[in-house]
Amino acid sequence: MPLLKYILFVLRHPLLGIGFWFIVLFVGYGTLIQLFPPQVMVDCQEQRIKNRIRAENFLYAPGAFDCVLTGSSMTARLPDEALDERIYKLAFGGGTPIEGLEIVLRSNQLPKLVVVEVNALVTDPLDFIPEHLFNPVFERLRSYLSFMRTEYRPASVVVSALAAAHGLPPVSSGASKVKKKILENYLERAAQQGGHLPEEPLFTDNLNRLEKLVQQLEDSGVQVVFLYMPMHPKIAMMRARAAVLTRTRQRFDPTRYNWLEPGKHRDFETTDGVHLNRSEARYVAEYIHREIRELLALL
Amino acid sequence: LNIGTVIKVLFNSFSFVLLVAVTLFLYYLPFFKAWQPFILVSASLVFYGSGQPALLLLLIFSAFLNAFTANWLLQHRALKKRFILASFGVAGNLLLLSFFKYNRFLAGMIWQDLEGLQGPAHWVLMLPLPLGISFFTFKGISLVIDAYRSMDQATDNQSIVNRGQKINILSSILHILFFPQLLAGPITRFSHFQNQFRIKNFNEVPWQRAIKSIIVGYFLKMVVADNLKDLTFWIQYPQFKDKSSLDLLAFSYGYSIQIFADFAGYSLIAIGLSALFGYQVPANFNFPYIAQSFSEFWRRWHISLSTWLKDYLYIPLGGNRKGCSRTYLNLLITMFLGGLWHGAAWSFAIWGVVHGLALSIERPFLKTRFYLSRHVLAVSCRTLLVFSFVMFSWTFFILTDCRHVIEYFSAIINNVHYRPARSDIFLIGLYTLPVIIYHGLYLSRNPARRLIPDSFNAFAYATMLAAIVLNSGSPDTFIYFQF
Repeated sequence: MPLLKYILFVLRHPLLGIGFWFIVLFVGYGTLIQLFPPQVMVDCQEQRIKNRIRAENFLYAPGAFDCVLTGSSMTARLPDEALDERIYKLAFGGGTPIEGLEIVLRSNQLPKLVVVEVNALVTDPLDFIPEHLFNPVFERLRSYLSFMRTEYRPASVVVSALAAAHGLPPVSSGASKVKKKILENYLERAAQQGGHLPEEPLFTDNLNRLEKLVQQLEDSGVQVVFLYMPMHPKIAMMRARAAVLTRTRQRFDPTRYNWLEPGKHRDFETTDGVHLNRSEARYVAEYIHREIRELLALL
Repeated sequence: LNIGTVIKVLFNSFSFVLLVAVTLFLYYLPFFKAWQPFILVSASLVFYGSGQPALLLLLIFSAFLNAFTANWLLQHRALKKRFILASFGVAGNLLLLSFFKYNRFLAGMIWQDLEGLQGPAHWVLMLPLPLGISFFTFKGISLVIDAYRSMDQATDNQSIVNRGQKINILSSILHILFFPQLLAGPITRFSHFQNQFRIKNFNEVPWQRAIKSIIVGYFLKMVVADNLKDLTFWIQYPQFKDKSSLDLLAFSYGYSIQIFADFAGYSLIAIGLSALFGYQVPANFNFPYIAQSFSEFWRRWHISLSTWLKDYLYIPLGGNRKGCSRTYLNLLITMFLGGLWHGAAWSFAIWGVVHGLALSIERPFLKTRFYLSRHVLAVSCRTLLVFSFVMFSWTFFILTDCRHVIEYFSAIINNVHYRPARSDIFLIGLYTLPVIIYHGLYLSRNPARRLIPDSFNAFAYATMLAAIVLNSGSPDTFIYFQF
């Protein structure tokens, strides 16, 4: 019984025992996920986890997409059912288009068209997302061992199971309505902040980074289109927001680049001043879809 | 702090793992044995320089200033000269700290519009905060004071060396620069380090203790703290205003566990890494959330800082030897400065004063029946009281504007009708559970000693390792790096 002897030795050894049980747990969990793949409720996850899942699903998708939408939560909340499966939303809550564009460039899965939502260029890019995605060890591991992806984290699986038990759908279609008081609070605060110009040098740095990325995409034969998402009219008219749009348009001249501005001709309803409510999000998604299809047809 | 510059020196980055591996390999190579301290100093400089190369000179200056001052103090007997030099040494450290850490805070007291300043004043205010400055200057101050006190053995039984004896300059420099403890402590005393300063052998490494400490440390940081961080993010102003009372209570509770997991995790990693290089570092946390009094909490939380404040501030101020009112004043002064040590904002000072008040108010009651009773109900009440107080006081750490703290507490009272985010509350419960179990196991081990069989030990560590690989949160800097 030398094998049993070895196993007993390993189990009794303080450090080898840890290694043994780690392998048992790791392989066991992987096998469980492979045999019974859970349906993970992405919308029930916390925002950063949601962002990571979205980025990984793009990187490990079987083929390239025709079009990629990059930007912030304003784009991320557009309902998937109003777009189609050849369009991927690589937009991140709390983020900018910069991280999405970096992922597209580093992924070697170049689409024909990239849409860049520029509303949130005044915040710090979430650089940890590309860093997490292209980690020298885990990038390769995650491509072979799908259970190591964020989507299949034990906590994500547990939360999804609980959400499913409560009858929640796997993916919600856009933002839900919020209380009037919350919207008023948002508008009041936005009014306080909106009187200032965008924070510098952050905004200029972001514009410079964006310009470089757009240039690289164009050099690789990808067409770039800009998108300015509609907001609550009171916020859209604020000094800071107007300055973002004006300066971004100066940098990316509308005579050279296509600009999609669904909010140009009418006011939109939002849940919090910035994010569109469900029906408005659907309307904008359908508009973007139509425009993308027309542009793709020309390529 | 600019995360972009700090990320390179995160303990959970690959570049850091590579640095440790290369340093360990060279450190124990028989050929390099005589060079072990130089290898550690070089690794520490690479470690610090990779995050803030421009401020490397400041770190080197601080280390040399303290090492040479301490050495000079040990060689001279003239009391007046020694006092003057020690004062200069301490003042030099405090000046560095004030110049780099408190520049904006102090300038804010003089000028209303800091953004409008031009020229050299603007340049000074724009200086980046050197990582770990509070920690390495406190280590430096302790080295200088210990060297000064070594003249009079009666004042300090931990004197670093005997009078007239030189200290090893290299060991004192390494003590300050030693990379596992450089950015966030523990703030060890030089005497403790000096006693261990010798050539280390590979076969003397306490592998089991070191690796277990590192696993628990990384688990607390990457699984507990990093996941909680994304959930408690909403404590920020103005996000908290639209959250329900239940959410806000859950965030406060989650943040209490997060800050413990973050800092205790860092300390355990530092202790484990130090052990790999043959240096024993005392524990920095001793299950603080089971404390039954505020004084016990401070004996269990950030022990190295509490000890430092006691030895170099509270006792020199008179401690509890000069009557009741003076004791309370000393407590308040110590905690006020301890609070300010954490950050250059009034909220940190208020946090310190609040704790000082709690310590003072509690003091006369420590010998009452409520505090002496061992009944489970009394013990639970005391623990809950201390934990709740500590939990709410952390709000001052996140919301540095005191008006926002007030708004936060009024939101807890007013937002009872808002709908709570159930999944967030569930996740906070899930991620705080390991820390509760961690404390619970400690409590249960006291009377029975052997609640968990040794064979389960390996499984428990393996589970933590698996959780690190499969369920880590988004990496971020350690909270205490900013201090």
